[in-house]
Amino acid sequence: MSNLAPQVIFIGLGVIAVVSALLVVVGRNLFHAAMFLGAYMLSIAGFYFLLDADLVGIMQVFVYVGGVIVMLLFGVMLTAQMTNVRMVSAVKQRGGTVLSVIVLVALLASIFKKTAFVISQATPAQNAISLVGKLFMTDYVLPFEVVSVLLLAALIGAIVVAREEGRPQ
Amino acid sequence: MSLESIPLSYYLILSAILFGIGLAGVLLRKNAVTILLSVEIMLNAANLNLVAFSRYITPAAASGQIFALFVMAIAAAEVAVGLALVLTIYRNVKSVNLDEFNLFKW
Amino acid sequence: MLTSGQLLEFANTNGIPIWVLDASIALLLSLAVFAICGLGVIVLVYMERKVAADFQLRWGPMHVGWRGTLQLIADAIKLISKEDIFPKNADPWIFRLAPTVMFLAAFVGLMVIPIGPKLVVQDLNIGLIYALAIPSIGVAGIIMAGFGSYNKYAMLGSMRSAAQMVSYEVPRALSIIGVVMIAGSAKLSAIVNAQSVWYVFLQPIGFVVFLVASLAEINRVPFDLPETESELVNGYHTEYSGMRFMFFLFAEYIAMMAASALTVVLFLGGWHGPGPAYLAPLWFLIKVFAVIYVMMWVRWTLPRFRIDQVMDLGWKVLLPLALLNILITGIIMLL
Repeated sequence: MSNLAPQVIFIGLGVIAVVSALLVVVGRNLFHAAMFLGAYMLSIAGFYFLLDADLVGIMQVFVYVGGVIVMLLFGVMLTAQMTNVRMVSAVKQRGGTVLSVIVLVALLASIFKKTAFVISQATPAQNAISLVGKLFMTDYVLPFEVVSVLLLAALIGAIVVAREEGRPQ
Repeated sequence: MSLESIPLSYYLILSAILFGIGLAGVLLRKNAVTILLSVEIMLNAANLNLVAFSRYITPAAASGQIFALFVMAIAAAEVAVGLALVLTIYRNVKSVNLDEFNLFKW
Repeated sequence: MLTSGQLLEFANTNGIPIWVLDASIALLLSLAVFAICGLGVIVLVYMERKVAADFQLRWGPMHVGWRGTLQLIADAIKLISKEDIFPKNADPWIFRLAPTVMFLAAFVGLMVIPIGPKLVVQDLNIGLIYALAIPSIGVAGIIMAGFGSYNKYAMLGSMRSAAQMVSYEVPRALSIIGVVMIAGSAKLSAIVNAQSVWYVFLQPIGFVVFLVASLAEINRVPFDLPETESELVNGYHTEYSGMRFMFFLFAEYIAMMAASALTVVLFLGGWHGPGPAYLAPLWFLIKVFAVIYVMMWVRWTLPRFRIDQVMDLGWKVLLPLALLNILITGIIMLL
């Protein structure tokens, strides 16, 4: 069955992802850059749905768009002058950097093109949420607990670092 | 269905491109917040790789998805701490330009 | 009623690609949900005004139509025909996009809510997480409105709402874990089917935490800090007028409907009720409106919190309560 829809969706999402990522990197306005990052995150979430990873896709929306982007926008607004700062990009070796990044991407792409991956034809797990939940509590319980400690540390650390009390103005 | 119509290498190449864009952002820009955003682009590109591998190579096991979820948790923590650091530095130096963060030079 | 098999056959014989069929079904369904939303908003605004009037011992809208029933249509015509004021220093794209983002976030979140045994647009396995995650994009819309308006009141209002909504998402998400534990599924229809006893009786703490956090999520009194008239003019939509303002209003009422529908699905037995099966959507609607009535009741009786009280309540009361609820549920399930 020649079904074009996945390819069309793939190309559409890919264009959105690449364009918004480029706009984040070259943009001059921080608030706009954060918005484009949101569009980029949403397109990545779209890829996850295309890859039958619904849970990861929804968590992407929840964590990134609902959390990280909001936090970034919040931070950008908290320092209102920051959005008006002229963002200079005065790196001297710009040409060399771009060239080396392009070479790296080309190298990776050629490796991916040449490698023969063993594609499995098995059907993906239907109820990913219970599978992932069970794995979190069995095989991956140690990393899971470590991540929770890390998140707690980050929470406290962020508050301690960002609080203003006792600082001379 | 997406297995036949989109080869795995497409996903990998796309994520390589996105990773390259993020890397260029980290290397080229001097604004600390833009660099944070670029790091997020790179993390997401890597995540796309993980989920694509999980779907194509080991569809029945969800280990790739679990790794992606771990990366998300760590990325959220990274943004929180990174942003807190940038805000604090901004308060003290009145700039978000990484070249001017030279307090350690004293 | 056409079955999917007949539709597929029709598509095959007429050479219509399947994705066209999928896309048109999706479009039709979203139009249907949109129509229901529009109708719901009209009813809700009228109800809000009448309930408010009732609580304040006055009549409410009485002049346009029978007992003021057409008042909202008159208001809508007024809003549409109003001048579209665009602040001088506003960020044009952000300012224009903000109402759309808020509206879409609220609207798309409705897609997983089952109003009857089979009456649901898309019954996802992860429907519950979806119903929580998609509306959280709305926060971005509020921040966009605040930033794009180039107005200090709008900015303050949107920053308050960002802090408030992000904070209350945590207890809200944690309060439903007890429900998922008992039902053993995050699929909304499965959760409804599992409720031979309404979960409000099995999860009283979870229910209270969820309802309060939902009120905060949709920025209703006593959590309407983002739009406190006495302090911030109108909060994040201070600079909005005409059509765009109507979009915000729409988004807020749809978010309210979604929140109360989710409450009904999770805690109040969804479409369950006495009588034959075809009454299911009716029962669902009655319950949703009951929850909405409670929300309006709260709005017109309670004063507004201060911002520090809001934060205290979220992090120091609701969050520990939600965690306690998970603990108790776990212990009872183990025993």
